[in-house]
Amino acid sequence: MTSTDVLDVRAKAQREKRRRRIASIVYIAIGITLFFVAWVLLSLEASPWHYDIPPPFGAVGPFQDILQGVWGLFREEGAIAHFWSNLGTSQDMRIKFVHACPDLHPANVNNPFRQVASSLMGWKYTSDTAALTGGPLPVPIGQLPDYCYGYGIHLIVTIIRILLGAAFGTIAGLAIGLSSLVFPKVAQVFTPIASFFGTAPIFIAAPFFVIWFGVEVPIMTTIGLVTFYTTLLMYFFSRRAAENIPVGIVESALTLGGTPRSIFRWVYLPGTVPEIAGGFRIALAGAWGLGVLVEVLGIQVGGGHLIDIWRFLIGQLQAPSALVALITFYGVLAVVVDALLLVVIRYLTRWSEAGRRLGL
Amino acid sequence: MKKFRGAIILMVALALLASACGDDGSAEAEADAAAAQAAAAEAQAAEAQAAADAAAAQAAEAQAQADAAAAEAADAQAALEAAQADLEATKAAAEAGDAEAQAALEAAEMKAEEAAAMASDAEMKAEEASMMAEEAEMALAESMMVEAPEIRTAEVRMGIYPCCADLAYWQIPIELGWWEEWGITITPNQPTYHYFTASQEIVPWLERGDGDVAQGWVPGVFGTLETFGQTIPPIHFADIYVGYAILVAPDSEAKTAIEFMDEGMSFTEAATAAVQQLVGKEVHIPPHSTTQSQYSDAFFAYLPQWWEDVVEDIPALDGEGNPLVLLGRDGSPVLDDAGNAQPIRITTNDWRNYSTPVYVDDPTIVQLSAQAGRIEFAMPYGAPTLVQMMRNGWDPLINFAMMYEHDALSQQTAIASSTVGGTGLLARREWVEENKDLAYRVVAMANRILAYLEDPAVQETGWEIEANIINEKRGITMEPEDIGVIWDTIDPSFNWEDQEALWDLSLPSYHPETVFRTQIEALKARGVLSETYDTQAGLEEFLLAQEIYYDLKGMQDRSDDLFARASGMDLSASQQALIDQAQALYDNYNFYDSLRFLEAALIG
Repeated sequence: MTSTDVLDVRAKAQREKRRRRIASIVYIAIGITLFFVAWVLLSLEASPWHYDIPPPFGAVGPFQDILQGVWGLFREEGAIAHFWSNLGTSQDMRIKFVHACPDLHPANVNNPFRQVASSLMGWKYTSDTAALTGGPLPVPIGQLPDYCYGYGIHLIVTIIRILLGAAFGTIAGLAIGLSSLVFPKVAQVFTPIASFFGTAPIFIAAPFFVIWFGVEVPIMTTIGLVTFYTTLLMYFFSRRAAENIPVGIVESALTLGGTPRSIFRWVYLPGTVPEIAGGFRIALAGAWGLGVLVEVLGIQVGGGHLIDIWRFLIGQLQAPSALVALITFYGVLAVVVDALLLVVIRYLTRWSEAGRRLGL
Repeated sequence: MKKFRGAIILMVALALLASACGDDGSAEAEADAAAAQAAAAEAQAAEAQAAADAAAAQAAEAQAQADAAAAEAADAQAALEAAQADLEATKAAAEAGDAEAQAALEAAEMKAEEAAAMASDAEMKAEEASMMAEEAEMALAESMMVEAPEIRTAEVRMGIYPCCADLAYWQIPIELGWWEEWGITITPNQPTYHYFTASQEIVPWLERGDGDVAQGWVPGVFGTLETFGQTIPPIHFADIYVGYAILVAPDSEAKTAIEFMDEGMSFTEAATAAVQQLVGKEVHIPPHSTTQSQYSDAFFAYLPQWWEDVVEDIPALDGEGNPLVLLGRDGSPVLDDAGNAQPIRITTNDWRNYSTPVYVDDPTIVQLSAQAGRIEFAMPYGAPTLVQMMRNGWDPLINFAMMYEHDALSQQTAIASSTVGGTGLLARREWVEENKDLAYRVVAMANRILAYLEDPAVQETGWEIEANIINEKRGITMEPEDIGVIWDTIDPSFNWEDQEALWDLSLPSYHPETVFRTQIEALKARGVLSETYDTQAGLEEFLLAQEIYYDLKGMQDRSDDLFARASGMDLSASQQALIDQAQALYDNYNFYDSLRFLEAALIG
């Protein structure tokens, strides 16, 4: 009787789990549909934003395109079609001389990996460099290979910058936050500083980073600002996670002969992971916006730079499509990365009820 | 009256002609409406004139009666006096005891009595006639009493981007209360304008219908001509921006064109040497230069390799499709060695084939330039940014002013002249069509402000108002004198008198029609506009400012005629008051209301 009951309970739990999963998929589908419906409505001719918001699916009509299949999304003049047609190379960017290849050395211009690395490091090969090193003259920017003008390389650079900044900031924030548990003096020094900067709106710092470090060294501006912001957040999250560990657990560890170091290793470190993981999701969500914002302020390579160029040309035919497409890209990217993160964190914290309660 | 009637008949004839030529119903309806309006006006004027004529005739008749009665009374008085004299003489004779004389005395007394009665009668008649004459005069005065036409109160949704002298000048009527004089309330940020925080906000704001009018950079709309550009055409051109300059940092070793000239070079050599220093270097420039690169192209055209690298020429044509040619100071074509006229060559070549642009907006350029060694060359597009950087020690490596001064007849200067632009009032076409009177008043206000800024007696106040709003909104430190320098040297304005040459292609001036044609062709060549775009038709539709100007010019001419006519007339007090009001409006370039007041005063 008892074993049957247990099996029933388990089966019911399994059914509930399946139902929740199906429901979550349905909710996501409804959310995506509503998003596109709102987008289509805002882009209709009767809408006051008709010229500012292009249709997502092209000029022939969204529903017709949907019926024609997914490929319909990538045709005509809609935002998605604009994004797709400019991803590899962009004629619009070519005629505006907006490119993503700072290393103009003739031997390197055809190497996209090198260009991405140069953009991340802020390295440029110019006529000054050529004069200093005795190298060949740089390639005129009107003659760069097609990929240099595509949105793709800009977006890749931005994604790497933001992920690097978030990673550096997380490492720094956790290192300081967790070490402050072992060495209280760290907390005494760092908490007032973090509190001071934490109260200031982080976006206010962006123009200062541009002024201090210029637009030439994105490793200090984009990556630097994201690192700074993530460090602050992760410091607070790690401190709070540690403080949220019940005192009883720590006391139990002490009664079992735990030393500060062993308690840090076996109690604090695993005990704070679920909460720190949740904090990291929040920090990363903010980092996307912050990283792009700094690029909009003047960094010459990156998705934010594309937005900066197009926002000055808002009246032109392709500008609304470009802006909506790029902004939507970052929104979708943030959601996708967060979903991937969710899977990873769920796996890492599968032992933790707290992790599950976080909705992981 | 005859003149007026002739003009009305002419208007009716024109309206009928327009209705006959019109190819759609609305044109015919408009012509019919105009004809009906003209006929009604004629009838009204004729009626008023008839009433005035009748009153005048009545007054003249009464006056004649009064004059006759007065003459009769005078005769009677003379007869009475003669009779009295006769009576006195007869009395004297009678006193002398003459019986005959006694009889004569009696007869004379009777005559005197009769004469006195006649005189009394005549006096009464004269009084009556005088009263009639007074009544007739009052009737005449009443018939000549006129009322001022109404200037309707209205709201105008207007926005400005107070970054620069040629945009911030709209602050002057707000500060001086000029809008209230003309019954206009500025909204939606009542009592002042909607202030844009960036230039790119202007076009979408108008296009969305959030506002009716905004001062903006006119060539910036060309890229939208295939979408919604025609819905927000310019209704007034304020100025031409000739301040383009490539600035060089104070700590740079690069020399300016003037420094090269000081070393003994000609200007062409100096300009070439100066621009040569930019090859392979970075130039900080705002992002909207991506589609307005023609100004920098004029500088880089001094490079010898520029002309070798040209792949395609962009047609630079006049209104009749003829190629534009280089002109000398006397307006005649500059000939080459073979005696041929030299066409102005606008090409698809681009300065960015020689230098690397770093796209950052003007405020960021200023911020970056504040730190020595960070940037070496910059080309800000905003005059205040330019002035502030020059005040901080940046020198123009080369600028348009140098080219105009030292190399006015060159191909490079011709490129500069044929591609520059300026700001103007952009307005929603729908709003203009529904509120023509407001459009006229807003344009009149622009002319009034520009005249104010040219008046040495008061211009400093205008500069101060401009500097204050720019400093407040842009966070920079302009002095009032800086604004004056900008208007004098960087942003020369087109006042009302200049506007004629702006639109009359036979007069030497900056001609938007010609310059814009070249710029639109350049956009087509660069792929911003499609190759099939009809430039001429598009321009004709776009330049609503031209139509508004000629409307106002017509009103001014008609006002002049009416002022001249009024000066030869005997006007009533109410007429004179209206003429005075019309003069005040006329003096402030509000020809629309000036004409209305004049017509009310003189025609009724």
